Amino acid sequence: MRYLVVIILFVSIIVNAVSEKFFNQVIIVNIILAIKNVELLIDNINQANPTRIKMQFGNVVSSWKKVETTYLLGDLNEDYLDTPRYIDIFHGNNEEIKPQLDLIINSNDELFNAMYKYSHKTINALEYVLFTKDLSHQRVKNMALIIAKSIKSYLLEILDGYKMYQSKFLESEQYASAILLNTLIAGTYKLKEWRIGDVAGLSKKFKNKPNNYRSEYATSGNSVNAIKAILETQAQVINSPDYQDFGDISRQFKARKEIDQAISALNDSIANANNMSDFDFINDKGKRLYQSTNRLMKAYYISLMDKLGFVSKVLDADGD
Amino acid sequence: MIIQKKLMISFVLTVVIVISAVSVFLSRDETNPLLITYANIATVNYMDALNDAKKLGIKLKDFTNNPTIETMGNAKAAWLNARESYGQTEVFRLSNGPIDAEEGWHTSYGAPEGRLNAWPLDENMIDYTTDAKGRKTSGNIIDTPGMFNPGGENPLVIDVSIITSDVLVALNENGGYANVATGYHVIEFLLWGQDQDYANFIKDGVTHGALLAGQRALADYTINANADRRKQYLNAAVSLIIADLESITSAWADGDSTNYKAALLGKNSDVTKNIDVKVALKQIFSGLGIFIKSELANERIAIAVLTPSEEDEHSCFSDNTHRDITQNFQGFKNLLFGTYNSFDYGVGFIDAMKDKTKLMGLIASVNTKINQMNTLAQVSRHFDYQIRPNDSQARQIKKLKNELRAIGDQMIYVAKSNGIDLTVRNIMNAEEIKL
Repeated sequence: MRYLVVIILFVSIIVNAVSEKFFNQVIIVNIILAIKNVELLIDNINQANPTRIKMQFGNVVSSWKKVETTYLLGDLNEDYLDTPRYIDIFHGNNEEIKPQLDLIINSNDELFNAMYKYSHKTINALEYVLFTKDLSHQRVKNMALIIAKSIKSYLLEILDGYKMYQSKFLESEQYASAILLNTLIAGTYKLKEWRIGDVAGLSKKFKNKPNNYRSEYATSGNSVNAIKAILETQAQVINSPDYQDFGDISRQFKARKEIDQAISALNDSIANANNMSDFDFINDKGKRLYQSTNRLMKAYYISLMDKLGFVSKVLDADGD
Repeated sequence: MIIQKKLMISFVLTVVIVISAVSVFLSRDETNPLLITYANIATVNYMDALNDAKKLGIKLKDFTNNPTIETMGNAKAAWLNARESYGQTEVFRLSNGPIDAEEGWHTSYGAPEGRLNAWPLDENMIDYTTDAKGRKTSGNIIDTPGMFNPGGENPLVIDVSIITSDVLVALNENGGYANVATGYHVIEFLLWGQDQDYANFIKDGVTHGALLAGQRALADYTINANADRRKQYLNAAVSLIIADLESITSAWADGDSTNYKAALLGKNSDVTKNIDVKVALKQIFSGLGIFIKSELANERIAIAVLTPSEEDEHSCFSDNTHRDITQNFQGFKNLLFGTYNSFDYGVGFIDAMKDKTKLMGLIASVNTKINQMNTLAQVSRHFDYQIRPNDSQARQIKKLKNELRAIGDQMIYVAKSNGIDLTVRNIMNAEEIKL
């Protein structure tokens, strides 16, 4: 974890980076899509359609991961720093929520009071309720609706926040670029280490102890789906033909080789992810994905940052 | 090229430029003034903590000799008072000093922090509670007259026939970190008793009220079973606190050329014990940053408010958490400004900073939020109500947490102003929970 934080504060940055198009076409579009997907899920739960519910949950996962991949609202305003935690507790909370949710289901307390913890209303809790409990029971169904509506409310809060601080993002391009790149790097570390390495038994923490059940959405089988969404969003950041992105900026500042390495590693990672299922983390496919995301991490953190780090020394010498 | 330069920026280097580092003169012959301030505040602060612990010991003795509502109230007041001075000493933690050093000759002072202030604790190990199903628990130290197994991982069974300081030391963290048997919070539990409703703290079904802390009955010390064992426990626990604080006070005492203070100031008669000035300052700045950011902001506030969890508030039996936060931050300000109890102790850590604007702004904002938290805790609702998701104050406490984290980050620049290079690595606890 310290590794990540060091990256976040010490990476050097180039300005004149991402454009308004990027903000509107990636950040805003992704959050709106996530809200729509949760609304559809709420409809499906109300209609008690198990097949659609399970399919739509996958769409919610995918669109939420896209929002999470470029989440920088907390840097624009600290009031939003903790908002993702209210939606998703993967690696952000040491609580064991499954027995807590079982207790809530089996108790007679009003759900409003019983579900008092933020963790009770996260996407992780929703997965457990939707995929392991009987939604024909009214209390379970009500819990699912409370969770889904809570997620929707936080997504709306994020959308409002982005709209409110859009001008700050676009006015201070240096800052915007910095936090976007930092978010990218931090997200890649989590992807490689937590979402793949821990499952494949390739991380330091779980070296040689692979276990598919450690994956992010093991209960619903949406772990690879989530990884694909993260990687696709990264492509939106560094390799889009539609607007000026980090790839373009890096080339402008003579980091062509470094950004090309990153894009190559990203493309390999996307191909590897597309070629595997949730059961493949513990075999060679999982290993290949770990290796390509590890290259991606190195490309961002070592090569690209180093290149941009050289740029920062100019400012130091400039003394301006 | 000039335009390009203006278009390039580095977070760190920008701040460094703005701050324009100023180093405090570090002479090989003269004692560094920052270390003098630090050490002298430690001397008086720990002395106050020791004296307040002794007063607590007297009041506990009075109470256990003659348990009445009045003597129980006096004991509680003494505990609250003791927390005021001890809370400020906590900034001396995490700096490889005698309170919690993990290596070095000065571990001989006992590194007693874990014995003094461990939390959260598993109160079920100490005395009865009301569990999540409303049943009274048993099988604890108080109600076990002979051999006691604390449970957990590879626990050692201990004879608790008579509850002494040695017995408590043997039990403390025996079987795991939650098996806390010593320190302020054990006494807190034995005086106040359970406040939290384990089934759901929002329901507050144990003590029923926003301004009510634990409501242990006086009868626990008079007619109820095991009253004498509770008395034994209280007196043994406070004796241990006093002994540990005596040890730490000796480490910081003036006029002793063999102690830790002398070594920190480069004046220990055994020159091999003297600590290099830069090493000392780096440890101190790093410790301060970790304490403010990882310990106070994250462990003591964030987990409580972001879960939310009454179990994770610092003084959950007495509902004194607002004072813990206040005094922890006061301790930080003591060192930053070189003051203690309104007296000037010399050069403060902040003095060398050229541009104090951001840090002072954060401190002012934190002061406001802490004052508000204190006021509400006195007249409206305790910390465990303020952290409830639907309470407007929860948002303020989250902001307080964020600002304390930002202050922790500022320690890099405070250190830089004083000629010490720190990175974010130096101000983060390795085990910090990502929040």
